Parts: sequence; C-alpha cells; structure tokens
Amino acid sequence: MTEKIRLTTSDDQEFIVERNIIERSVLIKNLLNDTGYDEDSEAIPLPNVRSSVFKKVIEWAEHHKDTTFPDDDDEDARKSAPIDDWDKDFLKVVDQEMLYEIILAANFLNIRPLLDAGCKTVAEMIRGKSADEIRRTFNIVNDFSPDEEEAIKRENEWAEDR
Amino acid sequence: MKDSLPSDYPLLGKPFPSTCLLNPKKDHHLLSTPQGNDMFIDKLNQGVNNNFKRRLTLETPLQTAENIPKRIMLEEDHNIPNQPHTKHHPTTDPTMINLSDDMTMEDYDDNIPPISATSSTDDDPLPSPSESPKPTTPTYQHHSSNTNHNIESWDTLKIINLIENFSTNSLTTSSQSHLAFKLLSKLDRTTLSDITSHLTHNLRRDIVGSLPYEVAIEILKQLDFQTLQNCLLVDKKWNSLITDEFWKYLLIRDNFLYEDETSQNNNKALYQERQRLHSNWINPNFKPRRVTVRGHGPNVVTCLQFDDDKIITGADDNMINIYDPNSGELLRILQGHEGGVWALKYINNQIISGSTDRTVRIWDINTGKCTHVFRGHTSTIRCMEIVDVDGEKLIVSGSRDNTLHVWKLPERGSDILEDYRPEENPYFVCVLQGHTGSVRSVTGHGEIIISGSYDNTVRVWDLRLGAEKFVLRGHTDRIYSTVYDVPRNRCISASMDATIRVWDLRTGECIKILNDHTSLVGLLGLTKDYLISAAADGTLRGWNPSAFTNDFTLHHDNHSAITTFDSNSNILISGSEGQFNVYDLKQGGKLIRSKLLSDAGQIWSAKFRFDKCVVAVERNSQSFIEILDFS
Repeated sequence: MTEKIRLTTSDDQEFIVERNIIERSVLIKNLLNDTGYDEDSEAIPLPNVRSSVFKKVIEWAEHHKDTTFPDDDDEDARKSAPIDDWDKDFLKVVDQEMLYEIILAANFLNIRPLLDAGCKTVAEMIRGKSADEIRRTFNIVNDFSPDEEEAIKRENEWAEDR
Repeated sequence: MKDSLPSDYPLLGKPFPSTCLLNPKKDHHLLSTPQGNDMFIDKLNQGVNNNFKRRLTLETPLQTAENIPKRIMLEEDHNIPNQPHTKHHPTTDPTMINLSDDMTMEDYDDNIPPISATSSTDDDPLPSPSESPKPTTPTYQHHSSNTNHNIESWDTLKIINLIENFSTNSLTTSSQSHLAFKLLSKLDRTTLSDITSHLTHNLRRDIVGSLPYEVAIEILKQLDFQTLQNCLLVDKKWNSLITDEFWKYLLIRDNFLYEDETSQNNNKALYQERQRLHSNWINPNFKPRRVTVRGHGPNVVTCLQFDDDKIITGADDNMINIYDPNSGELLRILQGHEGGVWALKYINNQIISGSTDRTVRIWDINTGKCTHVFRGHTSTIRCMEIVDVDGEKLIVSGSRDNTLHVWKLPERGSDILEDYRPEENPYFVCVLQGHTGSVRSVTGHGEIIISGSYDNTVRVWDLRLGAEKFVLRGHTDRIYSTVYDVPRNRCISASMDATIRVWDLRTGECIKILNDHTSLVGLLGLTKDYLISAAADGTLRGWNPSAFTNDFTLHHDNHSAITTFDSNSNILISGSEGQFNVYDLKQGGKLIRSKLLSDAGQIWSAKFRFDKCVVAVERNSQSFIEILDFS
C-alpha cells in the first residue's frame, strides 16, 4: 500500500495525496525524507498555494507519475526539449492568472519539469510578437517616454543595419 | 430601443442578455426559488424575483420585436444602456460595476468583434494591474442620485447594494465565492460564455513582470534575439530584466564566444556585433570583402591557422608565412626547415612546426626567428598537438617513423638558436612507441593522447605514465583522423576503410560503427551539436554526438573528395576541387553559399572566425591565400 501524505493549502483545504505523486515536488520529498513523516504527523502546510492551484499541480503530477524527465541538472536538455504535448494542452486551457499561479507553485514546490513547461508556455505566448502585441497579451502599459523608446529602438537597430 | 431594455444587470457589470428577456419561462427557471439557507442569498433572490416580475411586465412588448437587428442587440448587450456608445470610463459611469481596477469599458468592448472596431483601445492602453484581479469580489461604485433610473434599475441597485455591503463587510473569501457561484449557477450557457470570455480577457496579467526574477529569466532564456529586442521595448520592468549578465548568457547560448574567450562588460554590444556578423554569413546576398594574396608559389599549402592578428601558413616549399589578416600583407617568412612543412601549431607567440626534414622547430612570431630545433624523429613529421599537463605545455609530434615524441615547450627563447642532438635535448620527455605504421593523426587533452596510424589502430597514451593505455583495434585500413570527445570520455576515428568508429575510453571498447560513407573518411570535427565527418565520396555528414544518428548529409556537386572543412556550432565551411561551400548548422546544414570562390581550383585548407574566413587555394598552378571579410 502506498503511503498517503496529508497537506493543507493556504485556504485551509486538506488534501491526501499518495507519497510517490507528491514526491514530484523536491521540496516535499526532501521534507518527508528529513522529518520522517508518519500517519500521526501534522498535515504539511502549503502557505503559498491555494487549493484550486494545488489541484492542478496534483493533476499534472498524477498524469506524469511514470514519466522520466531530463535530469534537473542537465540544463541543455531541459531547455531544448519541446513542451510535452499533454502539458501544452494542460496549460493552454487555463487562464493567465492560473498559469501564473501554477508557475509560482511549481517554483515554490520545486517541481522542475512543471516549472519548465510553464515557462515555455509563457515564452510561446511572447515569441515572435512585437512590443505592442506583447503588451496587449499581458495587459501591460508602456511606461517609456517617447524619447526613451526612441533610444532603445536606436540601440536595437545598431545591430541590424550597419 | 435603449429605454425599453433593462437599464443594467447587477452581475459583473453585464446587462442581462436579451435572449433571456424574450424567454420568460427560461428566465423564471434561471431565477428560481431561493435555495440554501443563507440569508443574503434569500434576500438577493427576492430582489431578483421582484426585478423579474417588473421586468416581465415592462418587457412584454419586446416579444414582438424579435427582428431587432443582431448588431443592435449586441451593442445593447454589451453597453450600459442610457449611455452613448462611446468610450466609457468607470469613474464616470455610476451603473457600471468594476471587475477590477484594470477593467474599463473599452476593454470590455474589445471582446466583442462587431464593436471592437469602433472602440479600439490601441491608443489608450489599459493600466497594468497591480495585483491579481478578484472576479468574485466586485466593487460597486454606489451612486444614488441618478434620477433617470426607473423602478427596475432601482431594484437592481438594491441588490447590488446588498452584494456590496455583504462582500465588503461580512463575507469571507469563501462566502464571496459561494455567493458568486450561486448567482452564476442561475445563468444560462450563453451568458456564462460571455462572462467567461470577459473574465479570461480581464485575467490577463504581466506574468513575466510579476514572477520572481529567476523564474522570469527562465522564460526569456527561451526567446530568440529578435523577440528579445522587442521585449526590451515592452516596459521598464521588462527592459530591466534583460541585463548585461543576461546578454552574457545569450552569447554562450548562441555560440557567439570563442572557446578561449572570456566576455567583458559590454556583453550586449558584443552580442549585437556577433549577431550582425552571423547574419552576414548566412545572408547569401551579403558580399564579403575579398583580399587575395600570393601564397607559396606553386607549392601546396599544408597548414593554415589564423586569429585577429595573424594568418600563419606552412607549405611544401619549406617556408612558413605570416600575413596581416586585414590587409593581406605578407609580414614575415620563417625560413629554416630543409623540407616541406607538414605539421604546424601555434600557442601565444610561438609557432611549433614539423617537417619532412624530420625536425621540430620552435619559432618566435614577433621576431620571425627560429629559437629551437628538436631532433629525434627518423622520418617526416606529419601531425602535431600541444597539451597542458599540470600547467606545463607539452608538444606531441607524430611521424612516419611510427613513433610519437613528447617535448616540453621551451620558454620564450633567447636570441641564440638552440639546436640539440637528440640525447642532449633538455626538452625531450619521452617517445611513445607501439604503432607499426606511420602516425597520421594526434589529438589530446590533459595527459591523454590519442593517435591514429596507418597500422589500422588507434592508440591511447597516458603522458603521466608515459605509457600506452589502450590499443583500439577494429578498423581494417589506415586511420586518417581522430577526435577526442572529452566530456563523454570517448574518441572517434575515421579510416580509409570508409567507416567511423566510436570508442569508449573507460573500457577501450568500440561502441559504434558508422558506415554510411562510401570511401575514405579523411576528416573529423566535433561541435556542441554534431560530430562532422568528411570523405572522399564528396559528402559531409553530421551525426548526433550522443546517439550517432545521421542528422544531415551534404553533397559537393562534383563528387570530388572533401579536402578541408571547418566549423563552429553555427556555421560549417567545406572545400574540395573547385568548390567552396558555406552551410548553416542552425538550420540542419542548409547550404547558404557555393559561389564565394568559384574561380579557385583546388581548395586546400579553409579556416574561419566570426568575422573572417581564410582559405588556401590553388589557381592556375599557383597558391593563393584568400581572405573573406564578413564584417
């Protein structure tokens, strides 16, 4: 029988998750190994993650319970690997707020493959877009003065036409 | 029309869709009797029911108006009635409920295709949200002095007031959420769809700018140069993320640094410069500045090396020439060898050369003088390597006498030529003996030396022990080239038997045989992404350096043997009889140029750096040095 771990999210929801699933989180994995969690232990508090975000994280971890990811230290392999198709769909359907919170949660929980997938998803939202299109995509106000903007453009063009 | 529609609808600032108005039964269902025992919900439902009854009365005539043009309907749906259809501002619109600080009417309009064209926000960007929008906690700007409201809207106001009071004073986040879900559960699908798209739009946020720096930077690291240039222009926050340290990362990522180069302060400028040079290389319309100078008369140029300060060539006429890489001017001729120069390396200001005269000579580049002559080999010296063992530079020379000799690299020499008899040479270290045929190639790193021989074997030597470590047997013909894959602890050898073999240097075992070439494989090279081989069958092949899949095959038109190639991680150049090609390795070896030196005969040797390419060629039986400047 697999061990079950109890965790509490920031909004006081308790989750019971199989140990091998939650151990995708290096943070939790180390915590469990260091403290010797057992049935009588207190639920592990996750003060930075709310329940609906945590649900998504667990959904991701359950889907990937048998997946072998590139080594966390192999930066080249992690960076160049395309986003897993399932991850792509998984992250495509959530709104930007949820995507943002999933990335934050993956960072906090130290789940490198999910963090990578999140970062790549955002990168795909940016790639090939003009500054104006990026601003519209993320609801950003241009706070440069026309002079400042002109100066940056000049610096950029230096590389192109010379 | 406007007057006959409900003045506003309480939920989320969105008017009740007219489809509901035209369907009282459905409407009634949606606004069914109170459920749950939450007092506030009961009150709300009462309010809504009252509202409904009145509305039903008021709206009845509308049922005949089913042919209202769709566009009008949409307009009415998505604008606050009794307001002209122009730009709205939440601060001046009392009937509007803000979803969040960042929501404006323009934003709202943007969602509706037929209208967005008339209310473009292009010139009026939205304020950036300072925090996550909270769709479940609408804030209502109370306004009771609007005398234009009819009874119905007054009722609506009452409901809004209720929500407002409860949400701000007595509702926890979860109650707010509960309340919102209760309300939402009463709505029909089309309304929910509208709300959803509206919410999605409003939940846009500056993900990159809000994430911790180290995470935001991971996102930017995924992007190409052009997009990053655009990112610099997004806003101050984004601009500040792309630091000079980030440009340093990009220099490394995009292979824009030389192996021995440490980047300084102005990494962005350096990146832009290298990017510009690279785009010149891969732009077939860019014409590099070409300088052609005389080489070594009718003699074959056997060795070619260059950097920013000098081009060094060795030839069969016994000479070593040094040229200025910018002007092409012949700066010095190093004279001393009594036979053709067939092996040459340089380090700092010293050139080490090997010749058919069986000597190794050390030269001072600054003075052009020979400082040392090392004797000991009994036949032509054909290959040369310099390695660093514990901070000491060692020269390894390979010869047709079947041996390799190891020498200490002398300190910069005095003015007096030091010419030693073999047994008296203080720089002599050892002889590596074992090969039973000419040593054709030598490569090494640290104390490990790998030699390929005409005896069909590759041998691995340990300089610390001064002894043979492995004899790698398997090739059935002469070895012409070897490379040492240090990180993977492997070596790769290419042979006249038309195969390439990969050897594991922990065990000495052959772990892979690549036999796609059809004749002598004479040249090998290793980049970050590819093992590259060139053969007498007129092809170059790129292999995955881990999996050894054949990733690309490049054919020279005339099928003549490839005599030279050079590559970094981005560009590959190759030469054969009458053909000189440039390929883009970032596009899987796409041919970019083939006409750069179409007037040349044999291409003997070609080397390139980011800004220049230097090629030793034969034309009309004379040798020339061609300098192609891509800056």
